[in-house]
Amino acid sequence: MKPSGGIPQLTIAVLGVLLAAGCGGGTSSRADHVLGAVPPRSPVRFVLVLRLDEPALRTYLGRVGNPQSREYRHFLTAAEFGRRFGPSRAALTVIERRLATRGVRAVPDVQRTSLEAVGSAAAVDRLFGTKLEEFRASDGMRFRAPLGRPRIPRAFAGTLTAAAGLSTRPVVASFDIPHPATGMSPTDLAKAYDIDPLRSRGFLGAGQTIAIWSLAGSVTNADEHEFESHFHLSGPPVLYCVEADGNDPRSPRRAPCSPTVSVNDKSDGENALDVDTVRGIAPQAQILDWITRFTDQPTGAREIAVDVGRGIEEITQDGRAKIVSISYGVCDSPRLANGKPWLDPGDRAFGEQELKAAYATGVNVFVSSGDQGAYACQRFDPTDERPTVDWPGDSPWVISVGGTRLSTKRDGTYFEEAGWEDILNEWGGGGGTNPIDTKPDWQRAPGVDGGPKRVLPDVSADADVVSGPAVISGSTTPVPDGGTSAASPFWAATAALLAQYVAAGGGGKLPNLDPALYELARSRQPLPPFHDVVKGGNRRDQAGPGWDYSTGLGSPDVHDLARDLLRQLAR
Amino acid sequence: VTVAAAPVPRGGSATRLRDPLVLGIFAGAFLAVILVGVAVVAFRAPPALQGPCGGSPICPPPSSSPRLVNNAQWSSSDLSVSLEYPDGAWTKEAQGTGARSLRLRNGGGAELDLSGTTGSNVGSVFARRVDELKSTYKDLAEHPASDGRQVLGPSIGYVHGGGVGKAFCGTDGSGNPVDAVVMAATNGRTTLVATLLTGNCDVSPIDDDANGDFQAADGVLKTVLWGDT
Repeated sequence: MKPSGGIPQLTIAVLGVLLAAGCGGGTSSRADHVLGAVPPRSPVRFVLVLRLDEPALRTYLGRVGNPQSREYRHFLTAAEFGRRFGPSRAALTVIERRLATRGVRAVPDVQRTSLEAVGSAAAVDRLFGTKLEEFRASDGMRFRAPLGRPRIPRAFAGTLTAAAGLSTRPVVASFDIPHPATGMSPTDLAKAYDIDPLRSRGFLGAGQTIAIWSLAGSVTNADEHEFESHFHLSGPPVLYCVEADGNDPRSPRRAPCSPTVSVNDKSDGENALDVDTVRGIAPQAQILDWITRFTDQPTGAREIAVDVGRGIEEITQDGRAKIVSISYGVCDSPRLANGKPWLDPGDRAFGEQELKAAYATGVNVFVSSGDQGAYACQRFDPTDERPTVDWPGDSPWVISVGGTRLSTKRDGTYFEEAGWEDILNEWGGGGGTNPIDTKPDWQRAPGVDGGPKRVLPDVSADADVVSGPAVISGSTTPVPDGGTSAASPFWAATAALLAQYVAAGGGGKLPNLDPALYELARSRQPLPPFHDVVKGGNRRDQAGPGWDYSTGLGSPDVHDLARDLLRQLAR
Repeated sequence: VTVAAAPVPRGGSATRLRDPLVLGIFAGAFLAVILVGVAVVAFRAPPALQGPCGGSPICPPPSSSPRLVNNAQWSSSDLSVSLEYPDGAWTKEAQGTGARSLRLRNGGGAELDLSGTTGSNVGSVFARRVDELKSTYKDLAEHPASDGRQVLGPSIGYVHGGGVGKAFCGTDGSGNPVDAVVMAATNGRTTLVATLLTGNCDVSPIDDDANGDFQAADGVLKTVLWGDT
């Protein structure tokens, strides 16, 4: 070996180790093994986040959810959103052309919040001044991530704010917890949460459409039919909208929604929990099962954060569902305690932008607040004991749903609830403070702290594995499943009942529910809409009177909530 | 320039309205429309809001239907404490004098102990229990921070008062590993200490595939009712 060649090689090796350790602000970690550069000609599909007219958007979002505003409930279509807040058509054309000259094909979405883009790894490296590398995590999972923080070129700074999806690190987790016992049947839950009076009057969710965003595990029609048969339910067949693969940004990312499905990517009961819970509470609502595939690719599995934003973007654009349930999340921190890079800021920015567009189009997005209590990041790093929360459950544009343990009386009616926490097992309903976003104007109620940041959860429902809802997945026997994964679809289905009830009563369309629920909580209602949970906690903060970090405003008395909401809207 | 005169309606309206027959038909039709409208609204609208107490400002006592209990119950009159456990999953192995302690064992060999004393000195009760365990398992030591086994938010039956908890690892007389989690809490009058003993120090509670004992023990400890709390 020539001595002169040793120093540069050593320098490169040391630099590689430093970068892999995340010292350069990169998105890899010391626990990950660098496999080498992504082949230069390899296609890379990613997202470019468009700069919106933020001041105008902020004003509009404040007004559309404010009952005192003339724009209250004046929702936009996806296209109207794009025309009002996105770049002009001419500006988009210029961006597309400029990107094309750099080897990147890009197509804007209808709401003009982002561009779906494809380029070779070499083109992406040049565009963002970074280096895409392949990694293998300690668990064997392979993924792609950029070394160094991707930078938006100066030429695009006026129109683009971030890049998303460059990292395919699997960071997203589901929040379901199976349990080998019996579960609460739809009838049990309906009785406990006072849904029966609505059911008996025919309010079963007819005319409402609920989208469930999920990562495909094992999804078959057999599970759906078995559940309906077991619990004597009927409703419109679930429509499965399964992600299509491909690298052409102009081709549809999703196959047309179909009533037949057979996906067997991974053993995972989350999808069944979500679908069964919604079907059990609002059997006549149309369910759109918005499935993102777990397709193993050279770059790793697809449990990636950018898919959350993509899902919301697609559902908003599709326009059918005005209620969405998401039982997944990722700890809202760019880095775990062990130094591993985690939620990419670009992926987060993209998702937030899409959630704002969804809010503006009147979509109520319910998201599980997480299953690690006040320590969201502990899910991904057991030594991470910082108080943290999960994204997107902490977004100001979603209804964050926490967890409880439900107890009933012998006659099946409501007895009490406790904030769900399993101290030994290190589980509990997520709750805490959003690290980035400010507190929305509407988040005011007794118990809400005076801090400047968005706090969560907003509401809660049964999530303890012992009292969780019955689910059928891969067998003919219902088993209980829990976690806040059960609470989010429960609230989404409840929203469908509320929407039908309000419309039938002349209250018009459902508003953005977060402001409406907090308004109900701020003043004394003739019918108590929430069960105020005053015991239990989230492994850090205890439940107490009014809003709290464990259960938010509480769980619903659905019949009372429906009548209070109608009264509020009919004013 | 010739300007055409404005057309004049034939028959003055005032004249027609004075016709009692026309007036009657109009009033009848109007009344019918109103009645049909009222009927439709009454039929379709949700019932009027009724307070939970039937409009009365004072509510009657809540339904006396008691809490649903699915499991075997254990109670201590000395401590005013009770709990539930699924008797298919746990077996009552021992009960202390005056029912101040309980030992349950599950099919996997995990042991869950609960004992209590009057008073509120959580620290000394906790320390005494740890000393007991150390006398049985000589090399018992607290898990290092790198194991991520800190007991956060220790509580028993949702009572966090003064809660303290730690996880330990050691070996028994035969050299088998013993994992011990000890938690103590008080409501100001009674102090309870709970201990979960399992045979594997390497299990992370967060690992979905290996957390059955922690989950099962949580399921029991959450049912603890502290007298009047």
